[in-house]
Amino acid sequence: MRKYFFIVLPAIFSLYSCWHRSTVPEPPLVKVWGFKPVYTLDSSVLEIKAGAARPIDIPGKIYAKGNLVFQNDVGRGIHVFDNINPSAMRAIGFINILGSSEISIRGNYLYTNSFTDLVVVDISDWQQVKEVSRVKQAFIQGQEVYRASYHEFLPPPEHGVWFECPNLFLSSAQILAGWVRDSIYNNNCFYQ
Amino acid sequence: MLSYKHFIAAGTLIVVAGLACTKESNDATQSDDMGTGGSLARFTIAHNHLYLADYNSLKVYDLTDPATPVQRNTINVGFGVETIYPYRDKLFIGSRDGMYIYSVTDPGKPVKLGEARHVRSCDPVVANDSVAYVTLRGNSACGPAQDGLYVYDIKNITNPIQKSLLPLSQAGGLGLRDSVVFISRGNAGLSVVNIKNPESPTLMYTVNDAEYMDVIPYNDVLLCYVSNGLLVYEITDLDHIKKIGGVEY
Repeated sequence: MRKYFFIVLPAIFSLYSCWHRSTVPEPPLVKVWGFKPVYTLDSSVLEIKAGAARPIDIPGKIYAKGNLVFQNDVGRGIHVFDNINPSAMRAIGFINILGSSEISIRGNYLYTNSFTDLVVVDISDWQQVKEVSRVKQAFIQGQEVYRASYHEFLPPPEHGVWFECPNLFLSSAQILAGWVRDSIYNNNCFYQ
Repeated sequence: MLSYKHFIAAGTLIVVAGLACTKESNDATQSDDMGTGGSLARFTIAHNHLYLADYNSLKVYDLTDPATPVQRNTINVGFGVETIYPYRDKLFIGSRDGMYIYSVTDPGKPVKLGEARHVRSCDPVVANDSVAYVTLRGNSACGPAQDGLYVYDIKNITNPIQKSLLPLSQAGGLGLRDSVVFISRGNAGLSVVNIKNPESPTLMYTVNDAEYMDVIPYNDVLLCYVSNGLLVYEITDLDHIKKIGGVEY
């Protein structure tokens, strides 16, 4: 029995060293100064309200109803245009809807998204809109609005820095509110 | 660069049937109560239901109480569902791997009637009684298809047959009006295509005032979603559409 022991044990050790040798060592991660996202529990940034016309940042899909034309500002909300005289079309307002990228309207209700939530907005008076209901996580593709636009919303405070990539799945309990300088690993996101 | 950006989308597939149907193709499901969206819409309302195109699924919400959508169904459609076009009792769905046609005779339970698969690409679709028009656009995000307007005969709805292809670079969002289809082609312009003979679409002319993403024919004007805002063309004379206004940034 003992002679088998002296064969088996070295065999196991040499096999182990084979496995060990076959792993390519990676360069060690380095800690650098960068930025970490700071989340807020404040869901007031999700409040849907209408305001004055403003320049469009990211033109998006359009929708026409009656004498009004609506255009998404991707991730920010919906611009309202007066179309009574099409040759003199002008912006007359903006409905703030964080994370919006879609529009459909029927009657007095606008159906849109706030990132991954389906949101219903009462637009019977488009200047005094209000959210009437929300179905959370109804539109998973809405997460791409965040991925596309968080740099514009709230980029890290400096260029040429590493930052911990913000969580892409927003909920009202996790809204990106700012950045804090911290020591992070250099395998995160990099802000050019 | 996002992989699902609509304006990267592939050419438009236009299915032109030999029908001299020249009215607005979406008359049947539109009303003053609803207004009109463009061909890139992911949210579409028809038959008291809200339909969402979400990755590979079609999601169905009941709007009996308009303020409170209630989910009725989720249907796995195909790879990369992107656009929904309602026409009468059907939904025409553009996805990365094909055009799918669903019956919504029972609006809460869409049932697949037919499909036309294509090379991977992005494809908004509009349709009428006998023809489906799809623009296909191929690029690194959408897929390798040849850009253009594809026309499908859908008289037999369970078996759409491609009848023609009009090559048009960057063909994207589209809209029907009478015997013409307007095709947004990014920075290649806005093309006006004659579809009087649906199986032989011909390019009439192209205007180049902006980078065009989608269009909505609306009353006497064409509303255009362009890369820097909104443009308005008068379309009473389809041989010479005229830019009359808009809001650009």
